[in-house]
Amino acid sequence: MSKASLLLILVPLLAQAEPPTADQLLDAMDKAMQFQHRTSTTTMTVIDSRRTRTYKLKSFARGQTDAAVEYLSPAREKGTKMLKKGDNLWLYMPRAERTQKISGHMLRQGMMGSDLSYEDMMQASDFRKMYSARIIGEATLEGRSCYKLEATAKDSSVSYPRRVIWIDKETLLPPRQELYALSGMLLKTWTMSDLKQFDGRWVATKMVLSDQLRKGSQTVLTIEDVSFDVKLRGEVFTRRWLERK
Amino acid sequence: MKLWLRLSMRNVMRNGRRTALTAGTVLLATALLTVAISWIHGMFGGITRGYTAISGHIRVLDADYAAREELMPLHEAIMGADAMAKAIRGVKGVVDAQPRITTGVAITANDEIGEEFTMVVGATAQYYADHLQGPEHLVAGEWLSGATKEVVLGRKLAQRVEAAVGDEVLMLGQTQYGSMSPIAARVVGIVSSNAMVDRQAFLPLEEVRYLTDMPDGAVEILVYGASMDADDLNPLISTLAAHPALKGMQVRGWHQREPWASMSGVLTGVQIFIQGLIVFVAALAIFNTMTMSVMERSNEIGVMRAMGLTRLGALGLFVFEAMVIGLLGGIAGAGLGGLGGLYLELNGITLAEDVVDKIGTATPMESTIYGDVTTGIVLTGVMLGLVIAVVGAILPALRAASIQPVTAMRARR
Repeated sequence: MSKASLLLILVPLLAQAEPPTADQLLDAMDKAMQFQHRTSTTTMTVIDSRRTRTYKLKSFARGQTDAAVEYLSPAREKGTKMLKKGDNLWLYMPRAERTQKISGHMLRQGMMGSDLSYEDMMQASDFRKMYSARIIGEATLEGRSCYKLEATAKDSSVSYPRRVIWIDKETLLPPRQELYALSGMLLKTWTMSDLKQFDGRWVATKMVLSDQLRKGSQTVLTIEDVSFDVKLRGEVFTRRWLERK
Repeated sequence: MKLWLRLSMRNVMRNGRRTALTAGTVLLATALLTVAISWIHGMFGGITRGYTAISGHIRVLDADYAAREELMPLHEAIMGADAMAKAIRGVKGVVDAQPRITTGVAITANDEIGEEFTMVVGATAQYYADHLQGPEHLVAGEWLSGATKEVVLGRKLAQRVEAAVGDEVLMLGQTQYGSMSPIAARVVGIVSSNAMVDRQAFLPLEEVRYLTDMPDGAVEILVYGASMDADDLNPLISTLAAHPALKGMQVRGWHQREPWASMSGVLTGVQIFIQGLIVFVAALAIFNTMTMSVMERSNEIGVMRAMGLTRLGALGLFVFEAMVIGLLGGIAGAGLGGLGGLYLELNGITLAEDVVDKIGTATPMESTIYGDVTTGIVLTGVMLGLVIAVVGAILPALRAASIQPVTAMRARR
């Protein structure tokens, strides 16, 4: 997203005499996180109470529906690929030489044992459509002024029925989210930090997810490089790409 | 004593029909009890024999793994398991020691994965042949040849994932580090033995070691002694627990693990309850007979008391009478029950599959439950006949003992 388009989001909000509504904030947050095309290289560090393991992955995304991930390291996982198209997720495992569609309970499992589930990975940045929200206050997180929102899912198909979201007043990114179950139990916390500008837009280069049901567990995603709006070859988002060695 | 016995026998024969009816009640109760206990013993014995064959008489696993076993923390498994198993095999009294890995996987025979999950077992060919006895329980195909990319599925699991011999299945598990780990294998056989085996997948140990990324690792080492009897195993458990090669390990006999540890208490409780219920019902029949007998013979008792029969003598007279009936009924009932138990031992009772499913899939319960009749059970039946007699006769006998000679004489006039 270019600087100009970010301004298009920010200016109307900042220019308003009255504070923005919760829906406007969700809308703005969605726009701050959405893109046409994105390519990134990320390091995923999975920390549990006993050990730490690190994966390097290359990911590609097109709009809100298509995404592809390829594991670059460690050696055992190298070549493992995932493809998300709409609501479908496929996995290619080089050792088994098979492409498999992931479904059912497995979607809720941690990707490579991390705190990030396949469902989390599949989720589109479309909060405005999925949640109805209300502003519950303002807070300062790591020196940054934020709106605090409570978002409730509009239907039961959403993975997390309730979220508490902090939205940075300047970047409109969510530096912290708390994800709750229907029972009110806190399931996960998701923080975003180390903001950097790439291609004129703010990107949180560090994300920390913590599954509250797994004691002492934490997954840190560090974006090493990212580029936006570089049109990707259509082949990336096909099953042919998955099985290509 | 001789007099008591003679008088008791005479009274038993006095009203033959009533005696036969009462002895028949005792017979029925004792027979029922003998069959019930034989069946319970057979069921419990079958499950424990199946369990110990599959899971070892003694199980050795890392103490940290044991503490969180329900989460299956593979990173707490035993590393260097082959050397440890070898060291255990050298201990006196150990017949065999086998490393084994069990872990959860998602499994599918089609293009989609995530709906069906199962336990996958990785063990040596010797374990599968000698202890699981997998090759003997094949219902289709063959057992693992030792080659890679082969799997044997339990019958229920094969039905669930709609896989047949020759099909390829994909199992998606985790390494000990938590990374996703797949194995694609061809189904070479379908096995059916009990509720536990029927729901699992069986692979060579090395394949599961690769799946879990635990070279030379195992979740547990299963130890087999000469007998599964708890008294025989306890000294071996102590020896193994003190073995230097097993430092940091938990060593547990099958009888010390749940649910077996509490199951033996439950079994005793159920047995006592059934015994109590049957004794109570049969004792009512004896009570009725003896009460009638006391009422009919109160004058006679009065005369005997006047002639010098003590209260204890009068009490003994009726208790002996009841014991004769109880013994007759008990011997016949235990004999009949023993035959019933023997029938169950040979033929068993086959439960419907959904009943077995409801009872539990975590235990190696077979769909046909066989009885187990022993001399001890038959003797218990006979003894119970006597107990029934004494319990039923005690109140009427006390009543007879309390009859005053003068009162009885007056009543006669």
